[in-house]
Amino acid sequence: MVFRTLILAPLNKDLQRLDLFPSLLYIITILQLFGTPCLQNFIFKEGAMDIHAELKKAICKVNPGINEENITPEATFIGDLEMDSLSMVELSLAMEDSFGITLPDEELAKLTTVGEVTELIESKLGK
Amino acid sequence: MTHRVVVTGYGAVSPLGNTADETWQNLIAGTSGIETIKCFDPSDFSVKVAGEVKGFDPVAFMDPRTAKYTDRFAQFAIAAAKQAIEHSGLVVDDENRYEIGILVGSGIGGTHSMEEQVSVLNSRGPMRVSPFIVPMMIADNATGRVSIETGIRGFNLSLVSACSTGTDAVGIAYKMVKHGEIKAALAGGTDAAITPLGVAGFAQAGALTRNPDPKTASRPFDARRDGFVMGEGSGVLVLESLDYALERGAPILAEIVGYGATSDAFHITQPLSSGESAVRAIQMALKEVGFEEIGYINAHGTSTKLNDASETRAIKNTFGKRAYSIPVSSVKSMLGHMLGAAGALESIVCCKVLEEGIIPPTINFESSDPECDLDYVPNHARKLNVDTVISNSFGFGGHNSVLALRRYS
Repeated sequence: MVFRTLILAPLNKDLQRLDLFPSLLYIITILQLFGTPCLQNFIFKEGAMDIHAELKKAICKVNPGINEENITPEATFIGDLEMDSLSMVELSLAMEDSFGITLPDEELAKLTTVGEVTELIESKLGK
Repeated sequence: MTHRVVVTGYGAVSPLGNTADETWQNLIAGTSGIETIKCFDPSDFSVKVAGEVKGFDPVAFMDPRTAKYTDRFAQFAIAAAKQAIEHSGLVVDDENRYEIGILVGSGIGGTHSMEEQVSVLNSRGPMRVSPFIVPMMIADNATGRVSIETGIRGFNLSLVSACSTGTDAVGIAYKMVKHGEIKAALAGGTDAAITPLGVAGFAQAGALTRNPDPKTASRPFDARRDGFVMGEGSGVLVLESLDYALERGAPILAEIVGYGATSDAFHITQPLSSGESAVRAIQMALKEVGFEEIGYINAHGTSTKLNDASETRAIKNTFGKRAYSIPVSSVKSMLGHMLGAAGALESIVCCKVLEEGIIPPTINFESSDPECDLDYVPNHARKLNVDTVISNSFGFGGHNSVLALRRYS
């Protein structure tokens, strides 16, 4: 939403002046419909978002006070990060917000380390 | 065989301070902890004031992860319980952890979390609801969390009896220690229901004052009283058998000498106007205590028209002419009504009265009501050494609960 607002708002003004508004409004609508995943894929492909770093942020959000240095790709959620089944669900909700993807409980339950979840997110994003 | 039961420690979080001592100092100074509601915007509400806890930092009492997944009502209980344990010097170890019980009740439970998640449910759907919502909102989470935080593994129960909760929790713990079921207990109550739904609900029931002036809104027994002010917080006491307290050299602050509880069988919110069941509860609490010994009554005194009149009637029907010479005061004039925590906090106040020989006042008492004609210790604390006191609590649903406490000797 933020991206769309920032990018499209100034564009809107220019378009009106150039009298191209109706046809470009169509493009804007398409962008608004498909904007979020498109923009995200673009950002990921450009490497602007480091998946491990974003996942780390989500883990910290779910577990305030956690020692960030412990969040390595090899770290296990239930053992090393002292999480439980409830906080794993909370983490999947936080990841939905961060990455715009859905991670069903049963898929997440098969994974034990931070690195495995990073790989799952990469595959979901088609990276 | 029964045991004498003593109080060896207490802790509190209240609108007048985040410790029992700070709360007590403010109470005897006649300070009001009631202010305009800050935790949400009350502009659209008929009620504008409440006794909110101020500057409470849960992370001072628990790790950040526990704080995040613990509702405010249970955070208060953890803080009060840890203070109480420290005060009593009780060390929980492998020798005693199964012999100590926890009875920390709540009148309402985790309504902060519930309201937040209902909003998530309605705006984002069921798949976005937090998996922590059930443990965060259920009323027993306070007593469960206290167990986890203290390592106590004995009897663990959360009582729910509306505004009598705190008194009943202390009363049941007293009975269990008295009869040797447990050696010691953490007992008390906690509530944090100053939320949009909580305030709207109590307001719609006509229970709350609409007086927008925070300092004069709660005026128990005054002729102009027109409803209570919501408060929040927690009070937790350490109770133990006298033998155990002596054995471990604990500070003995007061003795509990009686508990009585009855119900009105009348109405879901109104008290029985004759006060008949309240009289029976007081009589039960004084089964082993002489009526003439009572030197102070900590009133339920909510500042509602109905409660204060029926409570006065009950006191007069119990004590006869002597009722006029017993000081009766309501700390709700300063704290507001801490709901399930009120009775526990007021039990702590009773301990302080016995320890320090000072009776906290009923503030905002200016105009007398013919139905409320006792000595309510108006506006200023009074120095008076008393040996035996009672604390009354009454609750929605017709609960009447009374504790009797005595100076230890």
